[in-house]
Amino acid sequence: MQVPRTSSLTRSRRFVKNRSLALGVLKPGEWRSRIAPRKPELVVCRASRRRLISYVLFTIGGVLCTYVAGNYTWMYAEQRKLMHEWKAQNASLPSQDAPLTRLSIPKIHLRAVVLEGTSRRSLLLGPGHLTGSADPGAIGNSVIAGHRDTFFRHVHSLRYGDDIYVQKSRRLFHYVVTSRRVVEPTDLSVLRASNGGELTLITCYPTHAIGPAPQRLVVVARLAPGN
Amino acid sequence: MTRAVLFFAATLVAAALGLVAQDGANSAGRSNAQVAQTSASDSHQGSPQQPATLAGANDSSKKAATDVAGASVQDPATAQETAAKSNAELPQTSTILPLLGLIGLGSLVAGFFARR
Repeated sequence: MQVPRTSSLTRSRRFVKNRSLALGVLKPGEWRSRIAPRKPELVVCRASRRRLISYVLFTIGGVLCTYVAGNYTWMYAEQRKLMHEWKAQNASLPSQDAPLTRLSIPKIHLRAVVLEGTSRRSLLLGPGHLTGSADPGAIGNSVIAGHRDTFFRHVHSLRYGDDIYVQKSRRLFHYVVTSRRVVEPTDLSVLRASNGGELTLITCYPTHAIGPAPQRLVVVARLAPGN
Repeated sequence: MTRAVLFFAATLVAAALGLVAQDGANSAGRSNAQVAQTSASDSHQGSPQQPATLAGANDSSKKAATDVAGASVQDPATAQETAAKSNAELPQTSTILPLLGLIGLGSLVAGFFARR
């Protein structure tokens, strides 16, 4: 015969009841009346409190989800607009007057227009070219930073020999990845000047973590011969 | 159940506030000069606050081209100097958006369970 499982509270109540009945403290039928019934107003109060909490949580969740979705939608729309602008400029302007730069990495299916500066807003809309570093395609170290959760999400999968293309002023510059390392945010050696054409991509590390990043992933590429 | 949901909600809110505060502190560390520089550059680059018609974009493109040309004349070591000015750190390339999204989804789920 299988004994139904009961909780410890139920067992202890049953024990007290049986013991009380056995000792004659309680008469049969009095037990139920001794247990204080739940007051209806208390039940209503608790239900309304839970409803209020659920409303608050729904509101917080709705606001946060809308904010995040809005940001990502804005980023997508602006990047598309910049891409159209880049195409239009390439078609219409003389080669030296086209300021927008497009970064493309076939291995990770990245194609994005690079913005100038690494402010929060710039990085939200696309990869940002570090102000003061060399222009992409020029002699020197050109530094481009991007968010790990959007444009540079798959940068960590770049390996030695992978191709990176930078298209600027109707010219295509071909870079080849030469190294990849993880550095501290205070390690500014990755920004050092270079004698040749060098492209440095910076994003946060660990790549798949959520929240503030303690380190940076740096991918260095060199201008391929023949550019 | 109610206490657990309350505790969960309080944790979510505290985490969100802490992250927003931390993010604000990080961005406040940047020098004003760099912020002004980047915002000026952004406005040249056809930023979303100035929706670019093609004619307007041409003007801004010329300005940006001039700026870029000016930048290329600079010593390449200026990148390090710029970074040194900006609190001596590499650019902050992580956002709190995924975390906020996660907290939002968690709140929705917690709200759903609190309603049951």
